[in-house]
Amino acid sequence: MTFGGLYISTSGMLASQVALDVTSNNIANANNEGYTRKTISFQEGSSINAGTSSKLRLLSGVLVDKIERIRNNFLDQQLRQQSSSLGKDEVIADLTIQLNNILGEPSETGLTAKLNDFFKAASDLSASPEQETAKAVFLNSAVALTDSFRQIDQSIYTLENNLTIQPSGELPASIDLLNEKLDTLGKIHGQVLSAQNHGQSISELEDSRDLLMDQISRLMNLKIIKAPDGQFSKLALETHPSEALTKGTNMFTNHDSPITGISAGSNSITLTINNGSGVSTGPFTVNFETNSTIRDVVDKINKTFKAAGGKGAIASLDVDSKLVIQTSMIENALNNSNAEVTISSGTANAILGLTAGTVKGSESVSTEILTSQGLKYKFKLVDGDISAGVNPNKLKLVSNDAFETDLGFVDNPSGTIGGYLTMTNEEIPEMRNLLSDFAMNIKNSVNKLSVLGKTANGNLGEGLFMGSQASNFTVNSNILANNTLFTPSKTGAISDGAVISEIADLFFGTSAIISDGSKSEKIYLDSTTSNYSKSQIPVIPNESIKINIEGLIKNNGSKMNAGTNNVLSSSSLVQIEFIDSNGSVIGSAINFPASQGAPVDKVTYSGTIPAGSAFVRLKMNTSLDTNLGDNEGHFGISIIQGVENDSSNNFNNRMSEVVGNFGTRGNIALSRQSNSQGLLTALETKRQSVSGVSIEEEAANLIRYQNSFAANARVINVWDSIFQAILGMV
Amino acid sequence: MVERLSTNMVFSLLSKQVAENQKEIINLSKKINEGKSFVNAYEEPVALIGSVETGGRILENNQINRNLNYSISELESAEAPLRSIKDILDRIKEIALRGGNGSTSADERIIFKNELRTLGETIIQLANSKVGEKYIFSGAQSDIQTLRLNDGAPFNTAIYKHNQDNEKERSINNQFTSVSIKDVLLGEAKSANLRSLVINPVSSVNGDLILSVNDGNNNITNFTTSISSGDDLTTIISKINSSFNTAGGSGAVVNENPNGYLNFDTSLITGNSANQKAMISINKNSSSSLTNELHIKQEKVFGTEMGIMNTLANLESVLTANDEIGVRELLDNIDFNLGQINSKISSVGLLIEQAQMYKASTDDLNIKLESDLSAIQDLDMIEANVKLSNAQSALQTSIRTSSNFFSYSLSNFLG
Repeated sequence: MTFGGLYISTSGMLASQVALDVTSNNIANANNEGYTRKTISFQEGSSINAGTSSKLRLLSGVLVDKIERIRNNFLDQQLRQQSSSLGKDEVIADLTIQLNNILGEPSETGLTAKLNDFFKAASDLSASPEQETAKAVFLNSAVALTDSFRQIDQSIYTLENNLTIQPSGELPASIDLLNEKLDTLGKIHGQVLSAQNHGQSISELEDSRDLLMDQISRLMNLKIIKAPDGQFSKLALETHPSEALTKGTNMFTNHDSPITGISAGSNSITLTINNGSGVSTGPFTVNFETNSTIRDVVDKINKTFKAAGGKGAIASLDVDSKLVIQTSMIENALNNSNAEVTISSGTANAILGLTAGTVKGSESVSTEILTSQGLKYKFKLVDGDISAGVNPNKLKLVSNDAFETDLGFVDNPSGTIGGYLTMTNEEIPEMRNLLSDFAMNIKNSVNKLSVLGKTANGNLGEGLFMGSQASNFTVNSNILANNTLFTPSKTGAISDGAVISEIADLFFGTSAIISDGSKSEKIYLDSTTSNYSKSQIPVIPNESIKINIEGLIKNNGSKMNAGTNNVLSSSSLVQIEFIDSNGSVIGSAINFPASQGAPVDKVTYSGTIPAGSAFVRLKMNTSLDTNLGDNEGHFGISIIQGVENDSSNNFNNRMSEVVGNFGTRGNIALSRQSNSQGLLTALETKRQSVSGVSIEEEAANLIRYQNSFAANARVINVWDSIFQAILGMV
Repeated sequence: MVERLSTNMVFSLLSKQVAENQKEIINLSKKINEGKSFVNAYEEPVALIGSVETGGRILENNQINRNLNYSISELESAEAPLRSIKDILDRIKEIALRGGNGSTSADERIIFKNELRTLGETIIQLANSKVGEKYIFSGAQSDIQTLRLNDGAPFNTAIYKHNQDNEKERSINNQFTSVSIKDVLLGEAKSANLRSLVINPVSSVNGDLILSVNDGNNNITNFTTSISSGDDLTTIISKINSSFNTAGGSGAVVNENPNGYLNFDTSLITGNSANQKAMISINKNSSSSLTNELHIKQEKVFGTEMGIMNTLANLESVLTANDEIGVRELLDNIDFNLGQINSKISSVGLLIEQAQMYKASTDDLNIKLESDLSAIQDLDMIEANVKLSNAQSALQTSIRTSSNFFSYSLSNFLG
């Protein structure tokens, strides 16, 4: 008889004890985020000497085979990808909702309400143009409208600035957090490798590493490269060593001061752009105006690019106030070897510090960030300051040392950081532009009409609004200081509401008609002093105009129709002249068309008002009629001058378009977030089902291993009794 | 395969479910409190667009309605003075009839002249009628008195002080709110070519056209032409000229212009004089069907001498001169002026009627738009309350399920 049985039971007790430890550890860590449940497995122990019987050699007790972390790498990979998508979608949804809250629709006090108040005030003033109170209410409503635009834009700007301002903004803070976590990951990874080499237990280090990877994936997804043994070995991501970007060498510190030497007609640049996804624009030439500022230059390049068929923008200023032309801001742009900016030789190249030539982008390369040597690179946001007009819009990879050697730009980052970049590079600027476009649409359309107003003393009105974007959209300060500079009248008559009536029409019509049949002008030729009509009608350059004249002209004592002579020669008896604000005639006098037959009592001219025109007037044709003193023209003139709304929609439609655009973006962002969240929850559930601790399961194990331990202890008791019996025999 | 349930997962799912139920209750409560089917733009962007557009149309409609009330009020204010002027003209005609009577003495004519002065001054007062601070008949220049006459001065020296460029009548929402009576008071020089008649279509025209023609030498021809359905332009022209000749006129008054319109021209009359007495007047009150079919936009009066002030001045002059024949000759002018003022009263009535019809249609449209807007943005309270009740039940169930789930655990039996 041997003590084999005792050893067997002892090994059972020891194995049960370890199993109980594993179970206890699982229960203890049940609520520990990142903890991976462990399972224990046993194996039969090595053979022991059980006497001479060979049969006994089969009895060898039990040993703990292994304690295993239950992890599914495929699930981890899926979950991190999804977590990264959710990180991006969450940020976009959260910020888009914030933008919707800033817009504040629907409400009784939002932009729609202010626009409606403006319309009501305009309409009331058109009914009572002589009432100073109605005019004051109208001007106040205009101020409230512009205040509302500025307030919304300022709030969006503040949000954008808070996101990007370095170093405390959400975006730079997220990048710092990412670098911090990567640094920690690098250290833990080193410990894991070291522990592996020394054959030590590394499960808690692996848990920490997995948890960090989960957290990092929410910020930005990185690719895990596996070693041949299937274990985590490296981290990598795609970067572009170069991009299609060219920068001027000249600095323009004062963005609002005219650039020395730039002048209309003699300064231009010629560009050809390829967005890298198969769309080439140009070559197109950008002609600059005299006294252009660097902001004007940027604006003109972008507008000309759009006019040439491009989508998005190509020009901006960098943090050093140098002109930058690049492809990354173009719609659907890809930074690859096809992306290209070509600057041809141009007369403005030297002034802007540009060099003729082609700059191309590069294909992406996979860059290893974390290796067995530790963390090699870190992330950095390019310099920029929204308040200075420079958006820090790119993330680059730099060496993880004091030199911060630039390794290139990160391609379409995902995660929270990708969400912030998408918002600051695309969504927020687009929403601000939408708001600004609407504000400028209102400004341009209303001003076209308000400058046609005439005061009682014959002075022309001023533009009601000022500004170049929503942030500086205001009511003309001259008008606020002296409200007679805004007049609802087109004739100067106190109850003439022609101008304000047409302004009110812009809310629901796509164009305003300055004068129509029911509001026809009457222009009388001066019978003695000149051959011009007394009235000069204000006009808007480049708009369409139709002039009808109807009636009698007394010519050399005989009545003649206004349309007389239209077929007798190429000249008509009454001619049209467009004049500029200094009274100089633009071009030659225009004849009414000869094709309408003669004599006719009504002739019509249709055309476009020439650039630079301020007024239109009529004149007697002195080559056909030399006896001016005998002329008495009394003809009704109807001038139909269409003022197209700057947009194809009226103000009410534009308003619904703006709120609809904000709302739709929010709706889509929420929907994407919800979908991402749903997918992530499903994956988390799946992973939890694999790696999570179940208290019930552990309780069952506890009972199982407790019973096992107790049974082994009982067996030992049996052996003890046996031994006692044997000893008693001695 | 049955999926393992980790404790964390169960906690997480149950608490998420409870949170979702709570969120739904809060969202529904907010909607019920505001009575709106959506409270944020991102909830229902398409409905929001509809709401802004429909809300805008309601606003526009309400504003048109308010402006129409304003128009109607102004036009009604203009109607009363016009009727008074018409009554005065009736009295002036009576004076002219009695003054042109051979049995009336010179003294009586002086009395009539004095009464005429008073009546004329009353007409000027009526022409200067105001609503609030506005002169009703001054068009856009409502701050300027319509007509001014120095004490005792002849009526034809009455001054219409307006800048000719600014005479236009006021309108709101393309609806006239004021009428000018300058042409009635002072007469108005207009085109010799009358293009007010637009035949559309000729075949449907039917009725009498009443015309009065002065050849410029005070030879006045009054005549009526009957136009029948199916008459073409040539036939209408032939009928008018034939009627003119039958009534004693010589030559023609109308031809066809190159654009296919009726072209009334005093120069077609044999022996005409091209002066400001030359006149063709078309009586708008002839036949409503004809007026409508031919779209007579307005009568045109040629010659400044045909204004009321001129008639009064001439009448005053002949009464002072005890010119019995002269008084009788002015009866036609007075009739013409009466026709003009009646025409003005009619046009004001027509404008009021149009404004009221327009207003009625905006009222109807408003009801429809309000109903549309309500359908878009207002909450169905019954449906919302049912949903709220369901959400509350779901929350209770979730909480109870969670509580029950964790009440029974194997760990309770350990030990």
